[in-house]
Amino acid sequence: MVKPLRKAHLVVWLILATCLPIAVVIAFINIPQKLLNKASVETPVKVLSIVAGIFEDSVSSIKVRRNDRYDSQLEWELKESLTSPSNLVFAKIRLQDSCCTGNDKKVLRESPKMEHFIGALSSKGTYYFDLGIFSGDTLQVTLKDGINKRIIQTYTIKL
Amino acid sequence: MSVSYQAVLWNRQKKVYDLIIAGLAAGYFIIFSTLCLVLYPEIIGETLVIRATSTLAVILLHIILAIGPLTRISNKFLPMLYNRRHLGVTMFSMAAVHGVFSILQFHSLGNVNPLVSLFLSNMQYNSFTQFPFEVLGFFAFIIFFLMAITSHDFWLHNLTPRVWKTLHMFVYLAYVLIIMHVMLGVIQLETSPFYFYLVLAGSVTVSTLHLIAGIKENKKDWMMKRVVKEGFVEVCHVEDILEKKAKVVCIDKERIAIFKYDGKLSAVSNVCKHQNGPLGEGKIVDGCITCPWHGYQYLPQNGQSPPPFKEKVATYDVKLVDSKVFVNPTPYPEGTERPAAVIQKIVVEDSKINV
Repeated sequence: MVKPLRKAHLVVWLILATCLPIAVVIAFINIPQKLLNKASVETPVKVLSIVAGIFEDSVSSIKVRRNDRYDSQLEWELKESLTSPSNLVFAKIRLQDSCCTGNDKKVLRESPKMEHFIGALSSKGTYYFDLGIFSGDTLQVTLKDGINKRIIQTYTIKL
Repeated sequence: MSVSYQAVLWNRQKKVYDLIIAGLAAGYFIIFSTLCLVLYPEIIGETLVIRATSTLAVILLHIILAIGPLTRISNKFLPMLYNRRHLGVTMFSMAAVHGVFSILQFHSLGNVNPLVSLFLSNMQYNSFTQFPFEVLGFFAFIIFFLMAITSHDFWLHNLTPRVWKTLHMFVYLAYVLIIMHVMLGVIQLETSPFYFYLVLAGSVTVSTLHLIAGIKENKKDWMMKRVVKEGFVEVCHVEDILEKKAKVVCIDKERIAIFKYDGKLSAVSNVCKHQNGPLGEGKIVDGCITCPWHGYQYLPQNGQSPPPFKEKVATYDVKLVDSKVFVNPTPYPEGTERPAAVIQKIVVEDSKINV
């Protein structure tokens, strides 16, 4: 090996010996958080008891669930894997957010009723998406392919 | 060794080397598959192939990267270096099988091109931990592919050693990509820290070996001699050089190998024309300086490879004064014949002693 090449090797490995273990450790310490996120998508904390609306076909069984306080969730049972590379779920709902006034009294701040991204589908299984406090007689759900920028299907569920 | 293509000459050493590689790879597949089938009975064939080839490729990559520094630390590892490229091509083949099966299993069942899906199925390019790890593996594979197809000496000569060496140094980038491909991919699905420690141990070991070898070589460069008078530099005593071997000295910018053979001394560049191997760490075989890396040969008095080969290295003037060896560090054009310094023989009574 010639001298410049020896020097280049040493410099490269000084950089790698410093950076590589750091990158490996950072990737490792982020594992638990990622696993928790994955689990929370597929397993809800609590499945709401009342089935307010249902849509069923050969691929999907979609249910709108709620409790008596109108807290709502969307249950989506995917019976077989979808063929699109990206399956994003949008629902036409109002987003509600709590905020505080000066004397700590909680109030709800609502967005207009419009289409919001609520989650994504991947492999076969049952998914639960939080819809917040939802009221109305229909829920429009749209499944989109985010990569090809196209609507796969729109579902209107009567409640 | 001309620029025209010549098929690989499968000598006995190459055949033995390749048989050992094939045997170890087959043994690994058998052990790995048995363990997988026992521990994960539901595993399917495709998944088994993906896992077996990926783990073997990563292990081989670590071995390949460790061979270079190990030979700098100890000559005992030189036999592993001789056919290192065979190990590299094997590793590439394993990576290719892993890549093809992974794309078939994870990206070919949708309605978009599998390669497009590879790049777009996970768009979290702005996240470190959720970065699309498949893309890292893909680019590492491209580097391995370029290295594998240019591994033949035909490409070494046509691309020139400088370009070829630069291209093959991209293996370090590929190594980083592979480590992160593993860490951001399969390790993210593991709850046991065992595999993390394994990857960390592998990368730390390879890095440490390279640093030890690099620092050792750097020290040699700092021990360089300076020109004293009349262009000649005193380098050592003639008895410091073993018969058929060399003394390597670093003068000004580069290393020179001074060989002792048949009562003579000759000096040539320490850098082999093939892959920059250290000629001074080789020995004289059949009257030729023989590179310890791949066996390229040069005549000590003129630095030329014996016919039909055409490689040439620079030569230097050597002289002996009172048993001290002096070298002029100004190189002659590659392949220039220079008279060897003759070691005087003093006859003491009936015995002859080399001085």
